[in-house]
Amino acid sequence: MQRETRRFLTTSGRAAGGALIFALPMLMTAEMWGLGLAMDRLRLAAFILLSVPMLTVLSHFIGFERTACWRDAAFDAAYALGLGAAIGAVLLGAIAAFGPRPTFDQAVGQVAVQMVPAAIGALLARTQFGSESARPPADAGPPYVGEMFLMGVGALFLGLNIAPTEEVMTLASRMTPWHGIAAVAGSLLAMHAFVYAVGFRGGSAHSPELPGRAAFLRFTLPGYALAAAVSVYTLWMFGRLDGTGFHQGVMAMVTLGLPCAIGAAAARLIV
Amino acid sequence: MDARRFETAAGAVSAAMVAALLGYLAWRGLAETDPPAFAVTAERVERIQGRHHLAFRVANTGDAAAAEVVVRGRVGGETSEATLDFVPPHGSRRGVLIFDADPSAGVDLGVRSYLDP
Repeated sequence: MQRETRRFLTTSGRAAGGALIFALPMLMTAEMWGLGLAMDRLRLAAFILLSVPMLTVLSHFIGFERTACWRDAAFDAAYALGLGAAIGAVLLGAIAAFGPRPTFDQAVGQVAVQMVPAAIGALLARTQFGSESARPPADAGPPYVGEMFLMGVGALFLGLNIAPTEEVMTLASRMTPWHGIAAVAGSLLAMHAFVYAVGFRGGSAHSPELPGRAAFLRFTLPGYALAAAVSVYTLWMFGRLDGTGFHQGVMAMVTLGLPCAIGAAAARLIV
Repeated sequence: MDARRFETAAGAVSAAMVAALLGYLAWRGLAETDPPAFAVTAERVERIQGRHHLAFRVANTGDAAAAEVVVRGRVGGETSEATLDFVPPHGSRRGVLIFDADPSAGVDLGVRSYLDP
């Protein structure tokens, strides 16, 4: 076999493994099957379309190959989506999640809603399973905006896992505003612990270690704002905010904001 | 703009947003909360396979959520009932009641029960 072909197959296998690991919890969640059937089709299309630039940038940072140009990164993103769809279709079929007689529209919807998380998993696989180091050496560190982008992906990843579940809305309605304040404080505390432990750096070349207070202002707080935005995005995407009043929406954002914040802060560990 | 100023600005904006969120939650925590209260409205009637489908909307005007909300409608001697999983505070949910008689002439709609989630 030619070296190029073998390399392509190895990378694809690795990506498929990553897609499986990351998408399995969602592939085996009943709410996700229901969402595939019931989710507004335009919103589903927007979900997939919006994921393309996100996956492209992600691929540029960490994808299967060291992508030299944006065209390669866009190709990798498309490939990851395709792989995600294929794995979703095979697995949903294998576990009989499609139900006895799915129509074409139902099956397409059920696979489509799984594509995006599986594609993220496929792209992340490179760093998880890859033998070769995908990142530049640690002392270089990604620039601030890149750091924020990776935090957003981390938040999206955990958010996508939890947003479809009924539990988010149940908790949001049980929690009093004081529970909400505790959730925000807890999220910030946990995030800051991660930020501090992983040693986020500033964009300025002359500050190898940021003092705690500056790191809180420059990474933890913007990271939480980003996590909250991702929380609202995923909740809206899955129709959780439809017919939900303002206050209940805020409580849901704060509830899902907790896992999103942890995902954002831990992104540096995963990615 | 240099990197440090940009990062500090991002931090300041985020700090203001988080402060606003905490302020809002504290304000809501101190405010009095009303129990669930419902307004049921009939939205339209469609004739499907010889029956009348009455689409309705339940709005919860209270500050607390309600679960297993039972909506009952009566047209003449005929009643129809639907249970909504969940109606969030200051939110609404939709459903359909089905009658043999035409509810356009007049229907008695109301919430009969709910559970504290």
